[in-house]
Amino acid sequence: MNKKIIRIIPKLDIKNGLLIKGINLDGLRILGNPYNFSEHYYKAGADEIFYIDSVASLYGTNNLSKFVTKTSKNLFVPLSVGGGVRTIAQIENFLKSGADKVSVNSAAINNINFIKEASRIFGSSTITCIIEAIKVDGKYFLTRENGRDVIKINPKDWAKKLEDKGAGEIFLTSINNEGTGQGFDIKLSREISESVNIPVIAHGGAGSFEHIYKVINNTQISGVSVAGFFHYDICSNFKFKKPRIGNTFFLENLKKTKSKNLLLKLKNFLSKKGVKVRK
Amino acid sequence: MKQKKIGIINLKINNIHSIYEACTAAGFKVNLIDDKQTKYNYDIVILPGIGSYKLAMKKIIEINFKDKILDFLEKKNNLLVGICLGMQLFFTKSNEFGDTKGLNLIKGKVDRINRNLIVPHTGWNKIINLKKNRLLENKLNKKMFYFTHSYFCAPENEKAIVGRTNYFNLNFCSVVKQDNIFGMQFHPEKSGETGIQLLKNFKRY
Repeated sequence: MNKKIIRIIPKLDIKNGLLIKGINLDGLRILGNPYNFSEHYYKAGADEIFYIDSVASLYGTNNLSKFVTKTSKNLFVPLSVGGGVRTIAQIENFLKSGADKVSVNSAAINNINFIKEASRIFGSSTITCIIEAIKVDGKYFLTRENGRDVIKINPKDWAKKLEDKGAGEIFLTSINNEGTGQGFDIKLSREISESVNIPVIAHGGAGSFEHIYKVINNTQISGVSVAGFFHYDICSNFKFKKPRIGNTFFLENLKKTKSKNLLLKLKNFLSKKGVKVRK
Repeated sequence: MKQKKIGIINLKINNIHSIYEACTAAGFKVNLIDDKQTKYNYDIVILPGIGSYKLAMKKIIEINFKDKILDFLEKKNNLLVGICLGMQLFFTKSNEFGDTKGLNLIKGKVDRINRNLIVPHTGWNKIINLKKNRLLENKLNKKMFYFTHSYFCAPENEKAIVGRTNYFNLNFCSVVKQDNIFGMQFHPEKSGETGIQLLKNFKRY
């Protein structure tokens, strides 16, 4: 049984200033304005907010800072930011813009000593390492550039290396399960969370409260990150100003779901099951 | 009631946005203190912090913080507040990267959390054994605050410990108070509305 106080972390994927959501980190849909979503999550009791610019890494661009500044103004829970971070100066820039943590994936794969340097300068608790794991023929591998690039390294070995180099946390995504709503990869989450002594956040596959409870109860994770499962609920229940550009067909045709404020309900559900959460 | 003035020490090594915004939201007049200020004309001075003890101490010595803060503390209505690393810097020494001397405003040392535990201690936790204190109304002991740290403070004088926190089998000092010096290991500026409420309590000091 996992006795930790579990953090529930909404993940917001941002592209060109819009909140998007993909399936298996591909096939993107526009959901709306990220400010509305993060404000809602903050008020609903999110323990932390995770921002990522999914395409920043691929194109080497970085427009996230201004969103960070605007969002962090009224957000009094930790804000983690990532996407295309390759230099110490970029980390410093994000922190000065109002981020509390900065997450790194590709840059660590390209040069693991980047993590050592970053954690020495900014402190371990500021540096989150993203592991985007893919399962191919029953074996797990790392990926970078949002799952496009498979690296023949075992995620468990990699997690230990990141810990050694001073990473403060691991944000673990299952590429296979991400965006499917079919549940988490329990085996992967267990292996990684049991092999390191830094917090591990599980992400990818949340589609029900039971899914979330299951990954908490069967692993040693410190938190769960949820994207689409929360976002779709908000899209269908709250009247936000619709984004004017891009493919909004999905949004316009989204069926109304029954529940409102899933985050709060999730915490009540977990609490009843004996999971420690902040309320 | 006159609006109280808070000055935030800017060591330029970390994110001070959050604490600035949170103090503003709590209703204070907030200023960032730059290195050139020779006198701290505030009701409350906050030493925030995330980052390395050694680097922070180097900056603190560079800006001649200790002399200025001792002068500030002479006035008993003034309050010095340390957050996270800021609290740790009040102590005699830390064993981060070998022994590093601190400000020695509060006797005691700063130790690393046992490596067998999940370190850093990142996440929400409660304050227990909370002593009655104007700054921490008792209803706050039911709430959780956000922590993120790998080191913890061990004051020599038990009386300085206002609140403690349990993390696995570790029971550490999470709130310290000695005269008009107040320190907390958690981040009120990242602890949601509970943290804002705590900051509001500072108005009554």
